[in-house]
Amino acid sequence: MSMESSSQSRERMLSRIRAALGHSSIGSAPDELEPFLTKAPAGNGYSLVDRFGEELRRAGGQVAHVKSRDEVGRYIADLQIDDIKASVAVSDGRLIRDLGLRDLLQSQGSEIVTTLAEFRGDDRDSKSQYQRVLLECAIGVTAADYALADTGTLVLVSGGEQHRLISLLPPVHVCLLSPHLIFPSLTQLLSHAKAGSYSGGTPPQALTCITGPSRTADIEQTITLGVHGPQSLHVLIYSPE
Amino acid sequence: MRISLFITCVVDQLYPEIGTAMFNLLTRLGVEVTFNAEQTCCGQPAFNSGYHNEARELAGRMLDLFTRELESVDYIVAPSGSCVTMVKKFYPDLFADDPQRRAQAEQVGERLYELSQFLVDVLGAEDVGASFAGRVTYHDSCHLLRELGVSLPPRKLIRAVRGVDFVEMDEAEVCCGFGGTFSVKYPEISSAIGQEKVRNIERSQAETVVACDASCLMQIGGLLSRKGSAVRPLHLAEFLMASEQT
Amino acid sequence: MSTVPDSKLQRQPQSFAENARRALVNRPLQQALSIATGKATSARHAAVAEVGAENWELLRKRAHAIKAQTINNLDFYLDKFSSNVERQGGHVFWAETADEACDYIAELAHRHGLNEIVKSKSMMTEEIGLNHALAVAGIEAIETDLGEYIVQLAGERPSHINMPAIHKTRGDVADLFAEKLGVERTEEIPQMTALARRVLRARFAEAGMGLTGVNYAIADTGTIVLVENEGNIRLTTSLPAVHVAVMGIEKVIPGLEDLDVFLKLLSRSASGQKMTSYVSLLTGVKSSRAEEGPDEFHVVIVDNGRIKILADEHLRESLYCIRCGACLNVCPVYRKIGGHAYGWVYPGPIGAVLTPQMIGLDQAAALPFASSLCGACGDVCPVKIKLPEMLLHLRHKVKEAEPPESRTHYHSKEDTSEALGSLNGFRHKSENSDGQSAWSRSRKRLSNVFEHLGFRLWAIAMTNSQRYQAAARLARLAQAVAGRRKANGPRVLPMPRWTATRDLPPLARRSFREQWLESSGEPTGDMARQDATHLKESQRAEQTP
Repeated sequence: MSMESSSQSRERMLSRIRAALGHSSIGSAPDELEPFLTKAPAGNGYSLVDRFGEELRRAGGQVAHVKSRDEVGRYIADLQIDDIKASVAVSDGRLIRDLGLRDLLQSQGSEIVTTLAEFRGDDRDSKSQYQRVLLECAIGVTAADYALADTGTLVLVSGGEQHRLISLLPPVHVCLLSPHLIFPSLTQLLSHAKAGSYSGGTPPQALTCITGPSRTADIEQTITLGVHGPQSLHVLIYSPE
Repeated sequence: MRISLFITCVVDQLYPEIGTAMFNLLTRLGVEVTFNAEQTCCGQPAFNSGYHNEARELAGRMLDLFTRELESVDYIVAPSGSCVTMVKKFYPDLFADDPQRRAQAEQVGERLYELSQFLVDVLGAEDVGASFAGRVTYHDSCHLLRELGVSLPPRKLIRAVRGVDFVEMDEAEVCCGFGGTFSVKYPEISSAIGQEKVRNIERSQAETVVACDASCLMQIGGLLSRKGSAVRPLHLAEFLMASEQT
Repeated sequence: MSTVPDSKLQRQPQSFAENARRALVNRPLQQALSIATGKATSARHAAVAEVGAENWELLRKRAHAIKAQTINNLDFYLDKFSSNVERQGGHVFWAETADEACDYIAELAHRHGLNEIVKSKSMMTEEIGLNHALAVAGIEAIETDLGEYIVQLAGERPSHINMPAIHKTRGDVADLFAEKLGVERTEEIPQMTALARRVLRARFAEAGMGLTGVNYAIADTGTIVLVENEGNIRLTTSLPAVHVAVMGIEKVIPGLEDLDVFLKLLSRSASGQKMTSYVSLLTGVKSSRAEEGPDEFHVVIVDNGRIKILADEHLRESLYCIRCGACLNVCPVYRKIGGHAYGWVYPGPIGAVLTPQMIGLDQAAALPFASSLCGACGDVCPVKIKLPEMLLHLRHKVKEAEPPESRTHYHSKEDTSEALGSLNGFRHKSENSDGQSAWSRSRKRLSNVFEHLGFRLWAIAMTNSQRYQAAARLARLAQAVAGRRKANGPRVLPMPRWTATRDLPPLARRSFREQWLESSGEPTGDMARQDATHLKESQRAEQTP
């Protein structure tokens, strides 16, 4: 369909909509609704970290507090109890690089999968290869860009760390979270996002909210985990001493 | 306190004893009760079936009748949530293009009450001096509950009855399946929905089921009696006067 | 073999009564519906209780207000949305009809040399008959949502907005997988799920195009929002090189700050969850090739009859629907007959409102009447759509379109095609494309005429108390003469539709009105004016021994 006929359809549909509504033209922007403040969820004496942990557990995820690089390594090693050599995909997130996690896990005997950036190129073939490799991985390790306390949600933003597929393809997802990144709820995060990259600038191509493992109840309303995404989600809240 | 009865065509022709019980109950509570025998039907069957012209004809006549009554009484009271809803909510819609009738409908609506609403919210009477031994459950009629917002008053009235053992059934607020002409347009669906209600009534182990709408009682009662159940369906008015009936 | 998209071929809301009857005697279906809708309504109820009734009501009102703002200025917001999508490197296609949308997508797939695409659950794509249209164009559309995958294998439509395979038992699925996937039969749900995961992952790995619907389209930023639990949407929108999102014109909301309200309402209303496992906010295309994600992004904005709905003030708000499915789960009719009985894409109360508007009042006349008007749907709707009032309005529209006096424009489409059909000798007998015979349509027309007449006469009787009294006496006579009775029971009017399953009370020997007049001795109104003397005389006559 040509550009011209496409914009013709657009004009036609928009003018039909105007006619249906009884407008004559688009004119100026409609008055905006008054702001609606959804209050930040009540503390209940809980800190954001505690609330986050509680909600994530409710959503079927697992939470652990870690204070050092070694603790992270031990946690992941425990996950691999059945097969220490199973391949692990580790993202290139800042926190992960700072902790030198890839070297640590490699030294523990895991086979580490390289990130997309380190694959030969950014052409489709390389990407397909990368995807195929990830499909074989047992564990994916990423960091999170933000989190939401009231629902136990991790927020991953594309464009920086390459965590989109690592957090999705392997059946186990381990995610490092720094507590200062936890927002009370989505409202606050979206206000922050709106003030930042979403306002006129370059919004991220994908902002992904993850709340617990992948699940379905499509067969007889019986919940099964790990249908398309990870079967288990482990969030390691990293607060170094 | 003077009221005029909006008896409803279902009570008039099928369950006049409900009207009698209502009259006696209100009289006992010191209310002067009158009745304009010119009334026929509020028009809901036509309205619900999509026949607005016919509904409007009946509605106009009923509004004039009620307006006349309200010149000499304080309120109009009906033993039905759905008929009250028809007047209060749907008459103004029916007369959307007739400001005079619309205003009339709104004025009448302000002084129109369903029985349990009237007893509790206007008379302030929860204990009407009744007694009833036995286990009783209550079915929420749809219009009464969802359009008029009446859920507590009937329960308060039932609970205040001496000797009563009141139990809430599961899904008390779920429809009985009557739905007016729906009950004969789609009788299999209507009955299937009603059967769920009957199952819930039986599970509550109540011996009596009370409701504020005669049409619900017709549906529930019809299903109960078809299966030979000993559960007794009673209108609230009859229930509150039951101790007088021995 | 016809090339008509399958959404038209499978359209059968005219056979609603028959569909419903069959559903009611289908025991496994009854059990499945009971369990599924029971769980969903309890979960919803618990989630709402946790939010608190007052807060929930505030959220609903806000959502309604946002939708009102958007829909009433839809041209502005759609224009803004599409401009922002294009600004972020996406392509926007405006499709006025289902065919236009399907053609665009097929051409796009062909341009990329694709003969298969992966897709996630989208009622919109059901509506436009996309899968069938693609199949005709030689492209296989692979459903990846587990429930949709199951119904696709079974060659059926989804029977619920969110739980597509609600009507299938684990045994059904086991049979299906064994037959279609050639595996050893198992009824273990984790195993069946794992099998689907394996099979579909292989398809994902090869897919050149991913197709999704849209839950929300954010005008301010050109962002689309997708909500899911399984993860197949994330796979569909991050593995293939091309992502196509199909949306109805009504999906747009003004800004990011509005999204939160809807997310709070949607998953709680649908399944009692505070938040689904995954929510994806996708905007345009990535800024660098090295990034993960698709290279190309297309949004197809579809009318398909929505602009017509927009023009009707009474029904415009049906476009507010966020497809949560709560009205289905709570509807006493849906809970008994399931989704397929409704005969088209959207079942339940919202289906009964949308279907007549989208495929024609005459095609779907039964649906607005197949409701007890209990109002539970309106109660649970997160955007406060007045569904019961819309059903009433549609009933009125149906009756308005059936004037008994002029039969010429009623069912004229069928009349024409029937005439053509018999002329050209194709099709068979006098069946129209929806499978109804001329005889059953005549019968329906006749019963409509009788109904109109019936209500006319009824109104005449009801608008005068003497006529009312006469009619009541006539009815009692009919009951006495032609009534039926159970053993030792009273005679009741012959109403087989009622009495097939329920007992009917007899008409009272003396109505309340008669008793009142007799006991008070003071007739009122017309009778007082006309016949006071006569009555008093007859009363005296009764009292003398």
